[in-house]
Amino acid sequence: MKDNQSNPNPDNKKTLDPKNEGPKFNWKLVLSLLTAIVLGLALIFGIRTDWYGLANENNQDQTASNESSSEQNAESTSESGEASGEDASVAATSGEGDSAQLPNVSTDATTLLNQPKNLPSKFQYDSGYDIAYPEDGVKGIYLSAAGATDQALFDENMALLDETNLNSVVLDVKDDYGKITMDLPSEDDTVNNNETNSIDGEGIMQTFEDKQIYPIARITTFKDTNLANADSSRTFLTESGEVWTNGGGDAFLNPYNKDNWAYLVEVAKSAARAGYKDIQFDYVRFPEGFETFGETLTYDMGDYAEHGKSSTEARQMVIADFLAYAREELEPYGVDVSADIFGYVTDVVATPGIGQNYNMIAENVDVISSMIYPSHWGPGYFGLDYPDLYPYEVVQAYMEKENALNAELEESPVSRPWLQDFTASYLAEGTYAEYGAAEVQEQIDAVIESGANEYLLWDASNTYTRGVDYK
Amino acid sequence: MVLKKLSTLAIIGSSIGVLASCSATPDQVVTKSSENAHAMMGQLEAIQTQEMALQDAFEADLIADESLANLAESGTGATRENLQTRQEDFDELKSLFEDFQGQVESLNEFDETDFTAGEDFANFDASRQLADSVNTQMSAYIENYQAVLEKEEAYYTSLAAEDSDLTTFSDGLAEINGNFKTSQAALSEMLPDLTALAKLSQTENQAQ
Repeated sequence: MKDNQSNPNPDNKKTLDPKNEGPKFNWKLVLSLLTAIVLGLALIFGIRTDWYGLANENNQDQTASNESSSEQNAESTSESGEASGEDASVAATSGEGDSAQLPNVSTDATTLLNQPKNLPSKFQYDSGYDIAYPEDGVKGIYLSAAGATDQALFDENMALLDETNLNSVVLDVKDDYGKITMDLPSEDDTVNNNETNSIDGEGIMQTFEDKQIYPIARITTFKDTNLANADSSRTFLTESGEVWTNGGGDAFLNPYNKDNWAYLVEVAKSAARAGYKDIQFDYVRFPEGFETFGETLTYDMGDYAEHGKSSTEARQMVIADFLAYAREELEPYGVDVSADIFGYVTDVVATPGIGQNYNMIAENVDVISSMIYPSHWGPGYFGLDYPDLYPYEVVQAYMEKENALNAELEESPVSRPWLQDFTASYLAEGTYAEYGAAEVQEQIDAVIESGANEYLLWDASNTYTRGVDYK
Repeated sequence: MVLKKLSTLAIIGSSIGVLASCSATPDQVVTKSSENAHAMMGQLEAIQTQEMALQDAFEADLIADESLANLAESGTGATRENLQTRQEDFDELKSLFEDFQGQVESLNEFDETDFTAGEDFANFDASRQLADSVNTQMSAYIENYQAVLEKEEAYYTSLAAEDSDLTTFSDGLAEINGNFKTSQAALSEMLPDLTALAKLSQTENQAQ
């Protein structure tokens, strides 16, 4: 059967032989060729007249892309307000002239990921020192490196803390000249090069832990004569190219310089690693009177250059931004961030020269320590002829102002003012008082009566008054 | 015989026709590269939309559970999803860029003899230089952004490892932001030229 199918009848052979058929016109071939010619001509015509072709293909791509972008825009608009805000800035970035139909691409972002607000425990630093936040609030004294290393004075102050409600120490970690007073756990060369190791850091922290004394690291921030002289790119230069200094011979680091930010925050991180529970930035400001001479100095304003050297706003922004940066970077260390400010900042709110703005700083710290020493207010302030003579009234008047400002903030910082435990004998005779237990007590009473429960006592010589109810 | 000659002529004619149709004019290639620039901007926008959502995704995954399973290589959390989406958007950008590079090659094959008026060539040459710049700049951006994505991939995996600690966390974060800063610098350099190139086709469309 199979053979039959593969071998047709031999009788048919003759009828299938083309030689017996003669010439025949092949319509199929001719039609194919004509079709090919027509198609070729149509292709040429189409390309030349933009009927279709390259542009068409891309238009489709573009349409698809625009649709995709529209969807993404819609998505981002429906996200959080923060994201929408960023979108607005994105639109502005590429919004030049007739670019309204162009996709919005921004170059504003400087980081892809920021420090998260909440970290898993394994990413939080544990210094190994277990010191709790005082239940009744921080009530502390200041110790310099000299005070911490003078054993008799140190013992006397530890005894004072043992015997009273005082429970905290603010210790100079980076002093007024920029020297780092102890060996800090850091691999940063600049940190290590500026360490004096005058304080036994581990020993003193162990004492603090044993006595449950809440340790606050005072870091003199932008006043840093030491580093300014060592590296003039970090500071302000005079017209003749010298490092600028104030009347007291102090030089300042340029707050606009992000390398300075990184260094200062590395000092702060190192202090946190050493066991400190609160990082207190002092001198977190420009030099006094900067609005009067700052324009004559040479320095780089970095990311703030567009504002110009005369800008009060830029100075306030950079100080607040530094604190925000420090707080974010210190988040994994579980420490509080506090800032020392001039008392009058709370009164004027925005200072023209030093860059301290109460509201802007308050938003970026956990604690504000305003220096409200009665001796530091000029004659007539708060309606008082010589404020140093009226410790209670000065503190009361100040706290009213601070409370009023804090009441308007969404999240107000802890109030922990600096109080005066020294006699301002440099003032004119009759305009100052001898400060003792009564004057210190008056200030503390005014703080407590204002509703606050934290304060710090300052005496440069570290000798604090006994016989005070440190409530 | 007549039929054979006709067939040969038709085949030759068709071939010439096809060849002629494949060689686009300078204007057409400029338009195509401009439209491609527009499409690449669309992809950049898509990538940035995801970038803006990344922080929230990351924070959510960090607190979802202590083991950080969402961030692990096999994780399916919002961060990984964000990374995957950006990788896809980035791959699409690379694909568009490959097409664009072909167009730049085509542009560079034209010379003054392809133009009848000197002014036409000058205009064309300006567009070609724009495309050349974008070619170089986009190449740098793509290289840098690929590094960002790779660092992210490695970072999330390292965070989910049992022995990860604050150093892992902080150093990785700093490294990613460092790479991102570099890619943003490349983007900043490229964006003005890319925008100008993308506008060419828009202007043409508006004129029509």
